Amino acid sequence: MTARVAPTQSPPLGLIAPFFLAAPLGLVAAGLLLANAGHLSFQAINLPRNVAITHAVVLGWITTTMMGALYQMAPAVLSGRLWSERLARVQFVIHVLSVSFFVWSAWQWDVPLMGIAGSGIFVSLVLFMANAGVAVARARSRSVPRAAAALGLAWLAIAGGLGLTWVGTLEHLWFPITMGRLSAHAHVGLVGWLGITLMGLSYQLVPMFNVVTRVRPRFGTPVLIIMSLALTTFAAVVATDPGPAVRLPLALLLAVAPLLWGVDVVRLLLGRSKRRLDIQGHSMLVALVWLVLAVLLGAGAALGTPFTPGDESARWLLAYAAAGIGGWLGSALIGNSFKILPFLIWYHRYRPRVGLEAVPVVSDIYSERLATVALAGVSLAVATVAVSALVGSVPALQAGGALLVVGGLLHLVGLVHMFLPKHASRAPQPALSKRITV
Amino acid sequence: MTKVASAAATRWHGVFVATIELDNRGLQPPEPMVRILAALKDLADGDELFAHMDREPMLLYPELERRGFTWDFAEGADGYSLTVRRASE
Repeated sequence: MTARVAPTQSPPLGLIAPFFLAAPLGLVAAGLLLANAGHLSFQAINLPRNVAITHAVVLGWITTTMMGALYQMAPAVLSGRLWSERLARVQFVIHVLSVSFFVWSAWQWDVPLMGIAGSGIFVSLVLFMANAGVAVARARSRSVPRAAAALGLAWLAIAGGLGLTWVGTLEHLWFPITMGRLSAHAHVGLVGWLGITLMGLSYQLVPMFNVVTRVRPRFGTPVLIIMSLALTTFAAVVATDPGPAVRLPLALLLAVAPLLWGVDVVRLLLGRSKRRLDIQGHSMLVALVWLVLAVLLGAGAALGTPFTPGDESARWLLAYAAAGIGGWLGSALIGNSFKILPFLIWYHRYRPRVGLEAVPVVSDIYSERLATVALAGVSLAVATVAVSALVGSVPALQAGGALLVVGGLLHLVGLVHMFLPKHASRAPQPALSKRITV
Repeated sequence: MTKVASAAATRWHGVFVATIELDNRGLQPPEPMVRILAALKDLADGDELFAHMDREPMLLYPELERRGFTWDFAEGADGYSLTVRRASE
């Protein structure tokens, strides 16, 4: 189920860290846009500011974090070598510039510039898929995390292709972008690329960081199969703009695999050997609560008319997006970023000196308090955005945006803090005994 | 037959094998590695370190090799265990 780790193949810290450190700025940008949003944001989900906010969060915050995580985990956990570390550095620059440019041009609704920026993002995605894809293909282990990474990259290619096509049709009017087609693109990106990758990698990370040895996950492979089949069906059918009678079963079908994954995560956490949960365990539980809320809000969004309060179609969808993107995916990524990055720092900085002098352990490198505050801050911001959309309050929506800015900065501060020099907080526990065997 | 004793006494007699025993179960990576490498400072030629483990310590192996130790990793009824000795042995 889990992969056999190969830590010696871990890429340099200087390659991975920029992805993690740049990512929270996407959340800050989205928060700034939301803090200045007006009532128009409740009218339609595809208005310029909403499109800019969505892509700042999804491509800026979450995808950038996920790219850093995959560049780290594909070699170190799946034991597959990257095609080129230099290419990964180039891709990082292209990605950050293109996403920033795209968010700005979408906010301004300058379609030709959106086309240029979208092409830059597509180039970034192709370079990432080639580099990480080679590492996944070279991986020796046949594990759930590896299968999830491969599937996630495949869905990323589809989501990127659809996104670029949508921008192309905005400019050249090849065909109309209906709500169904928009929904297909959004779900392929969010559930296919981010959801599948997150769920698959968590089958490695949850047991590892919570020391789970007595319990085996039940649904790892079924989750990936059901999720892929459900998403294929969902995207193909919803793109034809069916009525609520078709959309609701599709939405429920889409929810099956994430809920099975949630059952597995709870079982793993309950079966852990480690007594106290840390930020990773807490974030997974918070993510699960948001997942359940996202499923309920998604079912409501699929039904449509009864769930369009004030006849403003974007309100329910905004709440659904906040719960699914910021709540489920965002919470899980915050928790894991506070474990993956400290581990990497420890491995590169302190491992060679272990046993020769007192060195910090991973828990000395990150601040549990800062991590918890960041998780709580982002969760509060997401909850404020979701509730404000449901009740139709613009001041509350703007407050949610301001809280997102604070949450993003807290996440960034927590990550930057890890790079400050650290000291060992305690000596290793003494041995149980020294025995003499005759 | 086993009894608790100091490593110094063990080396004086020379005919005994001192075993440093660690319980690394319930610890998240890389703490098992930190504890093992810290304990290896006290390991004399002929002595061995025996550690109860939750999983195979892949992170540790390159360091053991670099520092001149050999190891045996085994799965028993009581879980996993790792035995480390100096390579010169």
